[in-house]
Amino acid sequence: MGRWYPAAWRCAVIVPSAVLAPLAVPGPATVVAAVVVICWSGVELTFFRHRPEKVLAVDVALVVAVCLTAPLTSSFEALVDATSWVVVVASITIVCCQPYTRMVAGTVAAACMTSAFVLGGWFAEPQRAVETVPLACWLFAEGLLCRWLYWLLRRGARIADDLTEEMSARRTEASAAAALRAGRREHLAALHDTAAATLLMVGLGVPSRTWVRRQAARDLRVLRGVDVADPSADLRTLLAEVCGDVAVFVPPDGGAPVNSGQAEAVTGATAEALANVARHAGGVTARVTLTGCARSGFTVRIEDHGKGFDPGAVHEQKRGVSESIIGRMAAVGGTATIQSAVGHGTTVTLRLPGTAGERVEAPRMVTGLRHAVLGLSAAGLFGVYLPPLLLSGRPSVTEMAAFALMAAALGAAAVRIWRGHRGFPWLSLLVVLIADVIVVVVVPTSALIGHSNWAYPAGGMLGVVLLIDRGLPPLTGFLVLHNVVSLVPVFVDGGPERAVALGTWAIIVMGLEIGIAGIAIALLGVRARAAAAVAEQDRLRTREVVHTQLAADRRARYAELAETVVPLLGGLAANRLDPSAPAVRQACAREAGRLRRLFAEADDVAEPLLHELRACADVAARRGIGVSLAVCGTSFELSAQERRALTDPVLAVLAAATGDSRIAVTVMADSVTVSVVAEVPPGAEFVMGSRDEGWGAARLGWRRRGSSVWLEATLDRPSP
Amino acid sequence: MAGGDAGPTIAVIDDHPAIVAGVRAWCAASCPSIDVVAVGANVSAAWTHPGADADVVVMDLMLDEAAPAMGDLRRLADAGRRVVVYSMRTDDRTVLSSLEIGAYTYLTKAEGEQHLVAAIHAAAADLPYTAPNLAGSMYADSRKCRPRLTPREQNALMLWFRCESKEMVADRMGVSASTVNTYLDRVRIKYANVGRAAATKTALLARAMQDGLISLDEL
Repeated sequence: MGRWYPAAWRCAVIVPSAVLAPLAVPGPATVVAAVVVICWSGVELTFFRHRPEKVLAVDVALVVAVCLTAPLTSSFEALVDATSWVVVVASITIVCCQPYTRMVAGTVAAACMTSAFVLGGWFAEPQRAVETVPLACWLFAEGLLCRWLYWLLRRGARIADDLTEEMSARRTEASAAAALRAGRREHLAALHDTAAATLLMVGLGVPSRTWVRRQAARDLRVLRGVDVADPSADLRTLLAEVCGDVAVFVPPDGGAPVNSGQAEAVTGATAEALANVARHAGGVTARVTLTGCARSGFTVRIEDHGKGFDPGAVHEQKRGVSESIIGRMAAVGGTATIQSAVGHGTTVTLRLPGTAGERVEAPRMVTGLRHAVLGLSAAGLFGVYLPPLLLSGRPSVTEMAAFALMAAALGAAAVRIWRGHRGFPWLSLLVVLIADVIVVVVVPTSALIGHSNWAYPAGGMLGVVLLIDRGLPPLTGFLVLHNVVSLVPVFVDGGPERAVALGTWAIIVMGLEIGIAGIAIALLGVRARAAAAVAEQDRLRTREVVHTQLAADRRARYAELAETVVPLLGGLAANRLDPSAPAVRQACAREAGRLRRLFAEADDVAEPLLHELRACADVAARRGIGVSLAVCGTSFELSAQERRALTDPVLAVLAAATGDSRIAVTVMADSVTVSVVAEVPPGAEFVMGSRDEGWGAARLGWRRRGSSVWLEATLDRPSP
Repeated sequence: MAGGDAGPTIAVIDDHPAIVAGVRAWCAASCPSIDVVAVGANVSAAWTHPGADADVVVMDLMLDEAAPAMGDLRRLADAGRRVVVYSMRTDDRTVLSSLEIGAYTYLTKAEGEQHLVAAIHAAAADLPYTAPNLAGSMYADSRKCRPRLTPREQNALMLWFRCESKEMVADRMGVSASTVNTYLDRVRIKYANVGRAAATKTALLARAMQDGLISLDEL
């Protein structure tokens, strides 16, 4: 909050009341006092920013002087009734000096000014001086309430700042972790669709040489593609590319802008779905439909009328559907559903969330201000206005009913704040206006100007409480309505001679209300800007973290595959390797198994070694080789590197196997052994791959008997 | 007692029809043939006629309950019935406790096709039979009550668990396949000699001494 707001507010209230002062009590003294006050306001606005303490001291001195000279510039009745410009000057200064002073100084200043006010009354009418005491007490109390309000405000702001900071840190952490996971998944899914699929196919000996060459070249591009795509993309063009001539694409009417992550997920999932259609549906053409808009989110449907399948019968180890389609969409906050039945084709539905649900964070600090203003209204209504009203003997049943309405609106406002209701407070505002009308109709005009009219200040303040976080237009609208209802009948009825008193009084009341509303609106602006800045900062920080880690991650993975998968794919792409040669097929089968194991490594399971061995067995099973897995010994923990040292030889043997195999894991206190026995026909020796010597600390032993090969890999564990 | 040309009779206790069908097929194809005289989803089929007279009971431990049916196994063993446990469970604790209670042998479901018929024949003749998974559990046994095994016996257990081929184990150990069998059988007998007494264990021991597999001093 700008430090000079309260000073500006003070001047804005004081100047018009000073202008009205000579009209109420004509005479040179009033004119001189008014001119001095107006001139000082100009000086104050100029110098306040630089020397607030000195300016404030002069302020207080000036107010004391104005109060002491009140007999010369104001009528006594106006002083008692709060329709004098002296009251305006005193009350606004008492309120405005609170945020700039410490507790003691502020209280002393308020006491000085209220005493001067009473003293001024005594100078004017020594016998009736006591009549000014209630108003003086209210002025003092108002000062203390405002001090409390400022304190709440500052505390609220501090809490809000802390929370924002903490939330921002957590948000960065969470979104970075999520984006990293998503990025890893994305890369693994890409590998699954490309390199792993191609190698498996070559291992099976299915495809033609040209197909292999083309696929291998594409897979290498995917493997090398460490780049992170441009920030936004249009699904229309991307999906049209993916569909190419293998599927019919039905685009939406408008564009389909999405961010790069979403674009990658949707195109990747669509490509996988289309690949499944090509593999399993039996020669039908799929139809891809894109619908939706940025606000509601986009939907992509991939339909075919092919053979279909039974979704319940899909093996859980098959990763195509779960990782490449469902996992990918989930990683960017979307969903994927697959509907299929044997004989009725398959429909894959991909959904991206829209932007409609996103919401700007509610401004917390205004809540603090609201609590303070509510307290102020309650204190005013029950502490200041109710006792004199009851004592005056004036109120009719109707007026008390109006008071009850106002109190009810106050209670409703308190409940709203307590429960956090967000709807527009139509009913409460209407109740306030009804109370206004009742008071104007039943209370005599003479009692409606000045302090004896409780409804006007109480109703205005309630409006501020109810509308404080709704921006300027609703609040202005309500205050205008409230003023028209409360003041116009009085003005018409009272005639021009009461106009000045009415105006001065309206300035006192409205000054406080508009001041508070102004602070709230300024706060809202500051909050919104701060929130936007924090969000932007978050975004940048997250992106940086993710970029760095993801790039490192992919580089590491590429390096890992550079010695194994890359040369193989390179050879196939360049036509150097013959995909039908047994040695090449075996190498491909082995590397497909390695990639499959790489995907298994990303899973979070209790026994990772067994999980990864099952993954290795699964690749062999696709080649029709039954693999049994037996374990003896208790649970154990191994690093990913150690697990690889144990599973690599298994992959090599399984890739060469032609018949059923047995994997046995023996866990002892000081060693772990993975043993594999497989049918490998003589002459079709298994190849360990390019990392023969690099299998960590694993000791290898193998022997052959007839067509059986028995290999053991043992890892010694240091005794604990 | 199955002595002559007629093969042994068995009762099959398993709540899964597919398993029962598999066991029936293997038994019918075996030589001498094994006669499946009773089948039941719970252990009562082994106590009532005709299951009560079966030479061997082939029993699943997971009979429709969360915990293995160890109590049923104990009651059968105490009554001198020869039980071949044939179960999905592969954890060492269950396997070793079954032996301790008095099961003749323990086979995992994955081992059925290769080992069940041989295990039934062995049990009917009061001979030990050790399939690879049971060997693995014995090898990894770290309980206090485990019998004292020689290094060669331990090695035989470990290699048999890993490769499931007596010839390859014999190759590795530089002995004949029948010596490997002797090692495995002696281990089984040593297991029969420890822990609680059971009629089945006594029968195993008696037959082993009669055959000269093991002498009283070695136990």
